[in-house]
Amino acid sequence: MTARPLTVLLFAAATVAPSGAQPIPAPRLDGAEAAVRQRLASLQADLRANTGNGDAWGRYGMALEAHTFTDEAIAAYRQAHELSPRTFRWPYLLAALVDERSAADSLPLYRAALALDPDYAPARVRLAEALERTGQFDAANREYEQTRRLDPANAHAHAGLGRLALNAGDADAAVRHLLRARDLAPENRSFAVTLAQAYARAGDRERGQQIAAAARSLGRINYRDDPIRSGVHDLALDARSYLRRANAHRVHGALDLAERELRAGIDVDASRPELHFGLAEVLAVSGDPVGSLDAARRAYELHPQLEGAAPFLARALFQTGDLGAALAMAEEALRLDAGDVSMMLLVALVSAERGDVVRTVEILDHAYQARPQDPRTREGLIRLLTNVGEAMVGSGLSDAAAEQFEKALDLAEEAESLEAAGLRRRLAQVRR
Amino acid sequence: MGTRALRPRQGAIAGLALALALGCSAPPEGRVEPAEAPGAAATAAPVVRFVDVTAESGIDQVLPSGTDSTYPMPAVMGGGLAVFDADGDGDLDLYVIAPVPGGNRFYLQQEGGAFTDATAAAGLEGDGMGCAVGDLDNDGDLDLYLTRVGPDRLFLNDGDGVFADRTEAWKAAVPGWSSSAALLDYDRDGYLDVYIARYVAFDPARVCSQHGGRRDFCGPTEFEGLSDVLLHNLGGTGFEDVSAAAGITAVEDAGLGVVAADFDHDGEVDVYVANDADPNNLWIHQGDGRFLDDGVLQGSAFNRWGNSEAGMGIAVGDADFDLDLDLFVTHLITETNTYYRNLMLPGFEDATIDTELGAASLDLTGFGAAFFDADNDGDLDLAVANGAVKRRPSALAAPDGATVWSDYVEPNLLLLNEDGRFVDASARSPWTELGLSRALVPADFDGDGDLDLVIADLDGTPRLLRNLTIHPGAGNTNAPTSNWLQIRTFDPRLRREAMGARITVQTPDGARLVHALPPGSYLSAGPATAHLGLGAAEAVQGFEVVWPDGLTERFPGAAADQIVELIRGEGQPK
Repeated sequence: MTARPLTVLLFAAATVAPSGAQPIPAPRLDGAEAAVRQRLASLQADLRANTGNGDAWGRYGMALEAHTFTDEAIAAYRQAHELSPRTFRWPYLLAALVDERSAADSLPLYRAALALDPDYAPARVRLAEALERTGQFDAANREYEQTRRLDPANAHAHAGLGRLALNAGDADAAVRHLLRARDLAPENRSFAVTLAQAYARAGDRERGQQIAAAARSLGRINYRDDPIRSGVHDLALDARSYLRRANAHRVHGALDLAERELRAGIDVDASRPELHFGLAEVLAVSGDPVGSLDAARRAYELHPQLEGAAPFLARALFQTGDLGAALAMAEEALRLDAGDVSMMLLVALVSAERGDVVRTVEILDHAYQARPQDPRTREGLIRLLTNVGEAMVGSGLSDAAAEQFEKALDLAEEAESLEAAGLRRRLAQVRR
Repeated sequence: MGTRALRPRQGAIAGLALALALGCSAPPEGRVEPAEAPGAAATAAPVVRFVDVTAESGIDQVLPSGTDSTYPMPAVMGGGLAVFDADGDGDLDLYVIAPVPGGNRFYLQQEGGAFTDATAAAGLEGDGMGCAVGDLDNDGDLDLYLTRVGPDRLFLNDGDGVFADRTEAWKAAVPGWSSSAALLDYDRDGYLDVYIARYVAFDPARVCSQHGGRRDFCGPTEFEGLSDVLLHNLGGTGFEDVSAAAGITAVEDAGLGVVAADFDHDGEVDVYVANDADPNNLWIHQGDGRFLDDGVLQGSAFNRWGNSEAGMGIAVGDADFDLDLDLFVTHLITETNTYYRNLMLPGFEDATIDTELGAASLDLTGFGAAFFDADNDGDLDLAVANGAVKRRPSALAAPDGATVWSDYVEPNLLLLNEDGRFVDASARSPWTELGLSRALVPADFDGDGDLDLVIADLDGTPRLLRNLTIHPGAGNTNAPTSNWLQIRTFDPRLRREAMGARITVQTPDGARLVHALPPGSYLSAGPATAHLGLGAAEAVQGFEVVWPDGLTERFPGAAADQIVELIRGEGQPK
């Protein structure tokens, strides 16, 4: 193993700007996508022509940060701040990046930014959080309060006050602040779980458990309303970033924006199955089954084992009426994941439609043995078993029909479903 | 009496390392710091010193990662270790686990302290991720449960350090990607059960990238997490998978680290799992074989900010002397490692800021970690093994052209406890060495009473760091003037150590809590011998042991600087 170098290799690959100017930080781009290389090269060329222009340095810094070249972005932002000392965004963006390495080092940068624009609430709340991270709880409290005055709807400020109260042992005050934060940003999982913990500390474990259980359905990533920082991430041109942005739009229900990001990502790199799969999902929800089917087919062609791709394609084929292809794809999905009950139901449905009684009964039995716990899947299985049972009654196959009803009843009783009573009556009739 | 004093053992490697530290032998270039000036060693505080003695130890095989141009995810996550007395000769042997077929190596420690490769003779060839070590069939020797990316394996020991693969007979072939494992007797039937943390449904075809589209290793969020597995030991004859009945299949998270202990002192063993990017689980045993995850309400699932972090390794110990078990979890770069202080009744609080444990880890990706008393001064220090899983934003090493790792290597951390604050003491070798470190185990390899460390480095030789801490008043010699005690627990009915026993030791400085537990960490297993630094105290006044079956016994005190064995049934019942 090598020894730690004395100096960080920050500018090892820096390109040299004209006569005595700061070197332009140039990240390693071997293996980077063409669109990214072209964009950075173009910005570097701009910069060489305008080395004294702070905004040109800042724009280059934003493009670097968007593609996670953090060291180089920090260097560019520093230069931007030095050349354009009256521009708020450069010290702010610099502070937020430095904060990822050292909250203590970010404090003077946040303060420099806020001196230029004291009313930008996202910056003030980040300063408060950096103070909290460095253990300056009183100062953090003051900044959270100041943010709340600036922007009463700033959920992060309320959450910060709640955290400080919780860690100071005042669980009741913590609940009050965190309830407000949760109400302002109900999609934020962090606020919800901290509120659940605060309730438990305040002696109300039952309420805490309810909130914790509900928080399980919330996404892992919490988005902030911060136009300046969001603007940076919008600049990323690699395929993965398009997918990330699309997912963010989907979380907020902006399906048109999600579709736009995914199509742009496919333009950059059409070989990424996850982009096509994401597009298929978005189009399905947007009410475009044909477009969804095309995208799902492409995703499956590129990577048949891509998680969820085969079942999705099977369902898409079923919905567009291509039952033969849907059956084949569902069987393929079961080959990849033998325990996928939803695919078993699809096979059963199509087999029944095509009059293949043997396969229908066989696959329904597999689904029954798998004891699905997901309520919708279980409900679908109960319905299918019931329908097959009724069809058998119609054909005079009472014993076989009773077997199907028994399975349906067993599942319904396990789920404490209201259908159990009706199934019990029907089973008794069939047996008679 | 009920206690048995065992003689500490000093091997030749101790003498060799001592000679190196005193400058009597030429140290390998760049490995050993110059000895302190005489005056410096005579200060009040011990001068904590570790020396890399790998080159002299006989541990010579590189731990292969198996990485290639496809950036296979297991290659960046592996690197396990087991430290245990495999052949019953009284010293510690070493099993090194690699995620590459045929990559595992087993080293027997010989009389005199050198290690020799005994992989084939011991029957321990193969590959894996991590392991758990304990006496699974109660025959008096230590067996080995090996976790893998594919089905797990079980090796039973014949008592002489030769192992038989009993995977099939015991139904131990747990499928999917298993990471760390912990042993516990949750049903108190006298046989050790196995809790296996499982990671993700890895798909080798998935291509991942960052930094403008540069290909890199995938992270856990690219895949579905896997539910963990609990194997019930059927009287030392086989396993039964009781995961569903135990309730642990309710979540499918990316598990990496696991420890089993009674965190709430209700007499039932609980399980804590560190999950990568998912909330951590605190499985509280309900006493009837069922476990309920109470991590969220007890404050150990998320950090102070309500965020789930990239949980990797776990250190466990009573770091604040309040007689319960605290937790320390290692995380990804840009996340701090997190210290969860146990408050007992309401659960845990994130005390990372109060203990000043955040800043040192923010720019590093932590894996193996252990609370241990590095200087025998009576409090718990921390060691953390680091190494990135994706290219670092700033490389710490120059490109070497031969591997990709120059963008990933990082230094490890030694954090010394100073009145409840942890001070970064990593400014000198061997802590400044860069590597891709994963498992880390503290253990007294040379039997001199202080804890040495072994660290697994991917595509490097496992590093053996000998503890050569210089104590106050000792001049420039290594005579340990900070005292210590090692405590073994033995249950004669079970013919094995009482893994999980809770031991309260009355010292002149107050009561101290230790456990007969391996140190936690990441993909690793270590001795279940409890170690206690005593500072200047020359004796302890007594022991109180809560045995895993619930019996509480008291034992008389003992002099310092020895290994004490507490035997169940020979104390005074409480």
